Amino acid sequence: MADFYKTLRNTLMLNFFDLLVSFPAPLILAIMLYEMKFVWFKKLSQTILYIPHFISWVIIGGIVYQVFGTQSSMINNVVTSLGFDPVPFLTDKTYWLVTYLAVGVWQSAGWGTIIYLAALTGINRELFEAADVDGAGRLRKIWSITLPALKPTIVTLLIINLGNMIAIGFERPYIIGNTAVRDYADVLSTFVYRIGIESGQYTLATVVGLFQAVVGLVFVLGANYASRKLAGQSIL
Amino acid sequence: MNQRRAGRAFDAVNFVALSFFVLLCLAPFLHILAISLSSARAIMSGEVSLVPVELNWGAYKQVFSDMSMMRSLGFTVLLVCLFTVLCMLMTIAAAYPLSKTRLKGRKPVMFIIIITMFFSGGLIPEYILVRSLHLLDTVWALVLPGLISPFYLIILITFFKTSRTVWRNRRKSTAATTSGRSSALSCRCRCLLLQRSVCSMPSADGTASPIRFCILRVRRCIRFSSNCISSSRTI
Repeated sequence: MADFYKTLRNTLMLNFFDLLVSFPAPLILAIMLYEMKFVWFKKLSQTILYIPHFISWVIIGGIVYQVFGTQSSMINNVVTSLGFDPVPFLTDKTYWLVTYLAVGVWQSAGWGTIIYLAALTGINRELFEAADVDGAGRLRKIWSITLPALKPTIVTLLIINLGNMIAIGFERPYIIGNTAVRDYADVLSTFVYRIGIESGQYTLATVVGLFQAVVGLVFVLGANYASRKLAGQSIL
Repeated sequence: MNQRRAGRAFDAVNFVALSFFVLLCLAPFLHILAISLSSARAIMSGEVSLVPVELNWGAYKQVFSDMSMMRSLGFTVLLVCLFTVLCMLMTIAAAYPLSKTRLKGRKPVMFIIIITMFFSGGLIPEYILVRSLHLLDTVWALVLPGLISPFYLIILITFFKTSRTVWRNRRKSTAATTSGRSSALSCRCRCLLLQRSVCSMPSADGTASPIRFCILRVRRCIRFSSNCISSSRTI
């Protein structure tokens, strides 16, 4: 079962990079939206940033091929017209990883801001007024008021994300991936699909699924324990 | 002065960066829209980027004249309505009691719910479960299994918890009472403060029965707040 270990490695790798890139993105976006002075622009950009979340991965897959494909895609048209060679976004392993992460951020960052923005409405405005009196700048206020207010939300989301380290959605790697990048794109969920549904080995597929669940539970309990010891808060 | 300039620069950078992200989110959709409205020849030759070339509505006509597509659209709307209503009901009903720390057995219940978040049986056991419950080929197979999403449950619990601590903090703050602004709020704060201070009285002497004490407290509170409001009116 060399395939199993490869898919396990890929799952952890993709999720780790995804956490690294996709976790801070909504936080930064939420703070940017919160700091936006023009209400009309804030509302407009919020609406537009939410759109990708409502599109199913199948449609996104279509968009990805239109935008990142090697031949006559939106980006490579520009690249070739500038006189460079087309970039193999979807067929080279390293480029594919970048594309995969970028698409993930693009799809989820806007939607992820909702939770942070909801937490931000709880901030007492008097804190900002007091900071103004004390002569604090914008960045200082973000650092000392906005971020501490978001801390419980950040910790909760981080615990959940760490717990999901081993669980990976099926559609995203399956649709964006292809045979050329099998070395990176083959993850546990696509593996289960392949051996369970395509080859009909139900027991094997169930064992892999169960393994995923057990390890995921260990992960989340560990993260929860660590957060209780380090940050003094936990979700259980 | 320097501060204000820095603030304005921050606003400008923020505006430009946010506009960039918004465009980034919008561009692929514009591209797809342009492709859906362009002719096959223009797409093949790679002329289409953000603006449709050789406009034609053929593809849209074909999709909307298909009855099965409209039927699935109707079913989707029904499913969304049903699921949203039931999911909200169930999640709120679970989250509110679980946000109370004094609830006995909160931790085991929470634990059981969290387990379902990470410990699903997987694709095949789920199918067998739905089949054994005779839910196959009904709308409930899509609605019932996901009614309580642990993720939203946790968010809601955190919300209930923080909203209570915010309220408690506000109750404690005497800043509002001294500032003279927003007199109605300060009135309520002081009234609640009084409630708390009176609340600690019976344990000291232990004479007043809980019910009488409660009435006393409410009466006192009302009297106090009415005084407060009338005094603020005169100001």
